[in-house]
Amino acid sequence: MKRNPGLRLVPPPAASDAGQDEPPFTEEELRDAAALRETLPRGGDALVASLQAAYRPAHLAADDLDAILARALGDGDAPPTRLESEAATRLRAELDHGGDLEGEAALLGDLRAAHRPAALSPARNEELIAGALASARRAPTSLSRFRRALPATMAALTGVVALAAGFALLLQTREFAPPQAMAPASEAAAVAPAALIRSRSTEDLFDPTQKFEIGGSSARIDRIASARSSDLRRNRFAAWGVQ
Amino acid sequence: MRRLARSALIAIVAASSFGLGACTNRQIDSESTAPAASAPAKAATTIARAPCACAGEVVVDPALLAFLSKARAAHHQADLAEDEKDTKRAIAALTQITSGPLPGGVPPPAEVAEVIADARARLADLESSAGDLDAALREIDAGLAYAVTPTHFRGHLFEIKGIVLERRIAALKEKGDGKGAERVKGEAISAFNEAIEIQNKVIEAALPGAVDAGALPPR
Repeated sequence: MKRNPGLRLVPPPAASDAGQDEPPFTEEELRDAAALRETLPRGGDALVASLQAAYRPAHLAADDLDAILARALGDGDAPPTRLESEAATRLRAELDHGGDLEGEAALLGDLRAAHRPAALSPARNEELIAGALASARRAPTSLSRFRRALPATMAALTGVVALAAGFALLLQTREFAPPQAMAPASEAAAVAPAALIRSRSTEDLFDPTQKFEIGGSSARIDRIASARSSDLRRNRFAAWGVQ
Repeated sequence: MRRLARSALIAIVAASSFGLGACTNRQIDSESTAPAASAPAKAATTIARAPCACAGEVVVDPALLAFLSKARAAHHQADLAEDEKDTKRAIAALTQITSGPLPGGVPPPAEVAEVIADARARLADLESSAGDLDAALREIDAGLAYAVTPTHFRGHLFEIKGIVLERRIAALKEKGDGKGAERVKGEAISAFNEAIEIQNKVIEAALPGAVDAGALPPR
């Protein structure tokens, strides 16, 4: 049997080499891991707490079990669990502390401020005034030129738009105007004339072989007026350019 | 901020006035072309402005139709008056046609002339039946001035003239004026002959192929 020189047997990695293909941890990753490790006992992170509970569930106190069961059975007045009591204690402490609340407690902070606003300390007041004055002094250097140019720019742009709109309307008007309204007299003469019905004898409205009857005047004027009314209608349409 | 609002307001006013100007121009143009023109004068102006192959000639316009409508109403007024045997009121109604303003200048349009001629023929008939024969003949003469070409209207006027003269003959006979009656009789015959002659011309003009009835062989 002839051996293929392009193939060779690759031995499996040794158990001691497992994980060696991963790059080494950076300094930053190590710092983050150390910081996380320190926060674990305090239980501040909900995800970490969930992972810990799943990996290593803590002992459930009998009171907590009774409270959870009672709540599951619909008892709204069931006593709080241990965790709820601890969360309530933390919230009370933060409220008593009087600082800015964060996270879910921020809403309570806002409600408290709206219901009973805390007095502003003179030092904080001076700090706010100084900050406002500083920003007011800074603003003109960056915004004054823009603010000065904005009205003129807006006026100019609006004027240009108005000019364009007016010009478009003017063109449109000329487009819809009758030919003689926009063309000089010589050009108007070249325009195909409208065929208006001329005034003419009414003889063709009557039978030439029948003489006019005495007493038939009203019937004759009826026929004449009716015929010329039709002619006038046609003339109006012709004048308006309607075929 | 106030200066900004003021500038924006000025720009908006300028834009509005410019656009309004353009719209106004368009409205003026549309007034001369829109079918919604309601006043007869406006419509007449529209028709008069339109380029016409018949330049220099009178076209059918609202003024002409107003006159025809007026004549129609007057004739029907006269009908109602005649139904009530009120000849005087019938004459007054028809006089509105002959005494009012005429459209189309001088000479009047053919329709106007013919309608006046017909109205005067009816007036002549009414006045002669009421006994005013001179007034009737004046109406005939005035009507003939409007119907100068051989038309039914001119022929009708001569026919009425003959009837008026017949009434005069009767009146003269009633007065015992035989000679006068004979003289007027000749005038009446002459008027009827003229009417017949005109009607023949009308038929010949309308029917170029018409032949003389006397030339037809007997059946």
